[in-house]
Amino acid sequence: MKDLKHIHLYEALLEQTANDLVRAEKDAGGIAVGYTCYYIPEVLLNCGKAFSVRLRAPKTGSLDISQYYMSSFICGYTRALFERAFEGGMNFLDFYASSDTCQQMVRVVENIRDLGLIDNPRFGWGIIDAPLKISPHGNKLYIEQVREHLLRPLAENYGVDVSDEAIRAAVREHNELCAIFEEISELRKADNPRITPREFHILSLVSYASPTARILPYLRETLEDLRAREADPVSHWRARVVVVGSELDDYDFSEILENCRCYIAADRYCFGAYPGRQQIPLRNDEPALDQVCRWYLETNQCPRFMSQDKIKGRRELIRDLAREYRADGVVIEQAKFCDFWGYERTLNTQVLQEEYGLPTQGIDREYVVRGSGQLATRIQAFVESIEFKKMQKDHPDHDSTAEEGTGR
Amino acid sequence: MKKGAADNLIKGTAIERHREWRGLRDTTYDYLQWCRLWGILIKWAASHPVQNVKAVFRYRWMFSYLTVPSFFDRICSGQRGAGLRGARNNLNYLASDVTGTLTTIFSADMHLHPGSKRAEELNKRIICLDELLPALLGKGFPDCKTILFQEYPMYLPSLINQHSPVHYIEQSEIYGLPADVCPLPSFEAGLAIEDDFPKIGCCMLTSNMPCDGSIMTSMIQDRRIGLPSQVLNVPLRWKEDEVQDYAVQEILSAIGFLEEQTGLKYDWDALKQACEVWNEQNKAKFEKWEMNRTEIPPHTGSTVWLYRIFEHQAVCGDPKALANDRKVNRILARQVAAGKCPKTIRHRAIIWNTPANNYANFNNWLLDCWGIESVCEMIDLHGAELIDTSTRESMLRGLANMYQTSTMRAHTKGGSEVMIDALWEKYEEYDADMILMFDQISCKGVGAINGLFEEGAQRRGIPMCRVRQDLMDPTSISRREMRGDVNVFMQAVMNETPLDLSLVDFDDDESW
Amino acid sequence: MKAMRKVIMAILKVLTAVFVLTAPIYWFNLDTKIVKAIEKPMMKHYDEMKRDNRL
Repeated sequence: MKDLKHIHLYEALLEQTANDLVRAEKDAGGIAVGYTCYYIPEVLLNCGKAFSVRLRAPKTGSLDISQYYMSSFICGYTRALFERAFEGGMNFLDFYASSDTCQQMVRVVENIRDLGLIDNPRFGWGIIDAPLKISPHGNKLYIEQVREHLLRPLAENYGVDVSDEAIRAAVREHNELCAIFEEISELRKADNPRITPREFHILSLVSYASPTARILPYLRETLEDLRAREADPVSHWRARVVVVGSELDDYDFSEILENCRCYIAADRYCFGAYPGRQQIPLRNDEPALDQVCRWYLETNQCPRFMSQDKIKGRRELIRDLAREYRADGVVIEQAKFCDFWGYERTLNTQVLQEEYGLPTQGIDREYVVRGSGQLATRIQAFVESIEFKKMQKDHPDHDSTAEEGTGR
Repeated sequence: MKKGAADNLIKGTAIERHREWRGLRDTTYDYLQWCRLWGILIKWAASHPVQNVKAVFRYRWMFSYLTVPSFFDRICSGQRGAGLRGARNNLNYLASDVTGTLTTIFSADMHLHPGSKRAEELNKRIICLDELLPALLGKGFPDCKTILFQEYPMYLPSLINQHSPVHYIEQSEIYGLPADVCPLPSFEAGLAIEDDFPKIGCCMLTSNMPCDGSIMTSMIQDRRIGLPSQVLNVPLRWKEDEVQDYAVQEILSAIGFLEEQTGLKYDWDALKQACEVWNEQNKAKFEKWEMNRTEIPPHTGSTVWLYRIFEHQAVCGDPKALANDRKVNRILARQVAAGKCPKTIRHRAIIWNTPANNYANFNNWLLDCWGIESVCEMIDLHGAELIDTSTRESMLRGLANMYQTSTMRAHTKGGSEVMIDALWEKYEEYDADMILMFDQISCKGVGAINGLFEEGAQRRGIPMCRVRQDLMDPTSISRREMRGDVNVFMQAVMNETPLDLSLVDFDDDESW
Repeated sequence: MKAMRKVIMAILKVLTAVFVLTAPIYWFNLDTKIVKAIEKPMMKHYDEMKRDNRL
C-alpha cells in the first residue's frame, strides 16, 4: 500500500517527548500538562490554553540512574520517565497531573518533585486519589479530586480557563479527534484492511503525545488519505487479534506482530484506542466536569477497579471487541513488573480461553520492545495455533490428535 | 572458646539442642510460660479433637501451627528480665486468642463439615474481612464473629514458619503469576488456587489494602471463595481532608452491605464501646513508646511489632487484649523504674519499612549479635490516632482514619513525604544513632523511592544499613543473606565487633 | 488441719510429677524435636492429597 502522507512526520514527532508540535504550542503560550494514565481525564487537560502530553520516553537506553533511585523491580515505563526527567528531557513540562492509582507511577512525580528535576520555574504538580469502584460517593470524590488537584492549580497558577464553557469546548475538539479514530477503527474490521497495525499505533500515539489542536489538521488529512487508499490486492494476514494490556507506547510492538502477519484488529491498552478515542457525549443539564469525570470512571478499564461488575466488564469488553472486529484471538501484553497487569494477565489468559472461548496469549515485555526476538517467537507460535484451530474448524475430519498450543 | 547461641543449633535442622539457659530466675519464668502455652494448646486440641486433627491433615498451613512452641522460643531468644516477661505474656495472649479463632473457623468450615447444618448456621454469623482491614468495624455486630480471612492461613503461618509460603507461591507461579510480585498476595493467590482457604462465612469485605498487589490478588481469591463480597475502598491520600468524606461513606456502605448479608442491625453502642477500648489499647502503646525513648528501652525483640500488628488488625477493641497490655506495661515500667537493663545495648536503631515475616525474630538477632536495639519501628507506628466517640460522625471519622493509617498504609501511602519525613523525625525523637532500612525487593511502592532515603541519610550524616529481604519468601533472600547485609555494615561502617561470634554467620536455612 | 495437709501434699505431688515430666521435655526441646520428626511425612501427605487446583 502507498505510504500515508504524514507517516514520517508522525514518526519524527514520536522521537521526542517535547516534539515540534509541543514546542510550537508552548512558544504560542500554551501550558504543557504531562500525564501518564487514564485516571487523569485527558480532555480536561486541554481546556483553555492548556494542552495535554501523555508522557513517553522514546529512544530509552540505559536506566542506570533510575535503577539507583527506584530499584530494578520497578516497571520500565516508570523508570524510563524518571530517567528522561533526570536527563532534562521533561523541562518543557509546566504541570504534571498524576494519580495515586499506581504506586509506581505516582513515585515518578514524587521523585521529580523531591529531586527538583524539572528546570522550569513554573513547574507544578497535582496528585489525585481515585476510587476503584463506581459509586455515587466515588464519583463525587473523583470530581472533587480532579477539581482540587488539577483544575484549580491550572486556573490559579497558570491562568487556564477551566470554566464549564472551556470544558465543553475542549470536549468538542476531543470529540473531533475521536471521530477520526472511530472512522479509522472501522477500517480495521475489513478482511484486508487499509491500515496496518503499526500505522494505527503510530496515529494513536501521536494523538496522545501532541497538542490536539495542532495534530488535528494532520489527522484529518490522514483520514482523507485512508479513505482514498487502496488496500493491497491480497491479504497476507494469518490471524486477527485484539491486543489488551498495560501501558504500550512503543509501536515496534505492533510492527513485530505485523511481521508475524498478525493483524491487530482492535486494541485495549493504555495509549490505545479503547478507551480514550471514543467521543464523549455531553448533555446541557449537568455540569460538563461532572459528566466528563463520570465518563472517565465508567469507561476506565484499569485492572485496579476491583468490583465484580468492573472485573466482568473488562472481560466482556474484550469479548465484544473480538466479536466486533472479528478477531481470532487475544494477546494480553504486560509491562514487566506491572503488578496490576501481572495478575490481570495471569487470570484473564485462562478465563478468556475457558469461559469466553477466545484463544489467548499472555506475554510480558520490556518497556522498549525493539528487537525482541522472544516476543516474535511467541506471537509466531500463537498465530500458528490460531491457524491450526481454524483449520480444524474448517476441516473437522482432519486428524485432531496433534497437540495445539494453548497460548498461555 | 565460649559457646555462642548458634552453637546450640543441630546441624541441618537448625533446631536447638536444648532450650536457652537464661539464669535460674529467667529460665524458670520461661519454663512456666512454656507450660502455660502448652496448657493453651492442649486445651484447644482437647476441645474439638476430631475437628482439629482433620484440620491439621486438610490444610498444609496448619502444620506451621504445630511449630508454635519453637516459634515462641525464637521470638524470645536472648531475652531477659522485663523483655522476656513482656514477650511471653504477649505471645501467650496471642496463642489463646488465635486458638479460639481457629476453633470458630474449623467449627464452621464446610471443607471439614460438608453438608453440616450446624456449620451452615454458624457461617450465617461469620463476617469475613480482608486481613489488612482492622476488625474494629465488625464490633458493631456483637452477635457475629469477624474473621480476618487470610490472617490464619497466610499471615500468621508466614511468621511462624519461613517455609510455609513457598509451596503456595510456587502454585501461583505455575499458573503464570510473575515472580516479581510481592510474596504476600502471591501466597494468598496460591491458597486460592489450591482451595486451601477454609470455607466459612456469609459474606466478605475485600479491600485495596495495603497495596496494588493486594488489590489484584482479591480477584483471584474471589473466584474460589465465592462469597457475596463488597469492596471497601480505603483512600490513599489519607493526609487530605478532602478524602475523609469518601472514607466515611465507604464505611457506611460496607456496614449497609453487612447488615443486608447478616440480616442484623448495626449496633452503634457496641462499636462505641469497642472504640473506647481501642483507645485505651493505643494509650498503652503510647506508654511503651515513651519507655522506649528512655536510655534503657525495656521492650526488646520482635513481639513489639508482631503483637502490634495482631492487636491492630484482629483484637482491636478487645478487653482481654487491653488487660494483657496493662499487665505487660506494669512489668516493663518496673524495669525502667529500677534503672535496669539486662542486655547490652550499643546502638539505638530506627527500623524502617516492612519487616521480613520469614525472619520474624530478626530484632532479637540484631540485639544479641551486634547490640542493636530496635527503639522504634515503622511497622509499629500505625493506627495511632485516638477515636473521638462523642458523636457517631466523629467516631466514623476516627474509624476511617484508623483504616487509612493501618498496617503498611500509614507510611507507604499519603505521599512519599509521609514515609520519608517521619523517618528523620523518629530518628531525632528516639535519640537513635543508626537506621536499618528494609529493602523489600518486591515492594514497588517503597522501592521506587529508595534513592530518596539514601540521599536523605547521606545529607544528614546518618549511618543507614540497607537490608534486602523479600517479605516472606526465603528462597528469594534468606535470613543468612539478611544477616550478611548487617554484618558488612556493622564491620565496615560502624567498626564494631560482634557480641556473640557464633551469631555472625550460621546456617538456619532449614529452621522454621 | 490434717485434711488440709493431705490436700497440700497431694497438690505438691502432682506438681512435682508434672515438673518431672515436663522439665526434661522443656529443657531438651523434645516437643520441637517431635514435630520436626513428623514434618517430612506430613509434607508427603499434603503433596499426595487430591486437589482441585485452578484459577
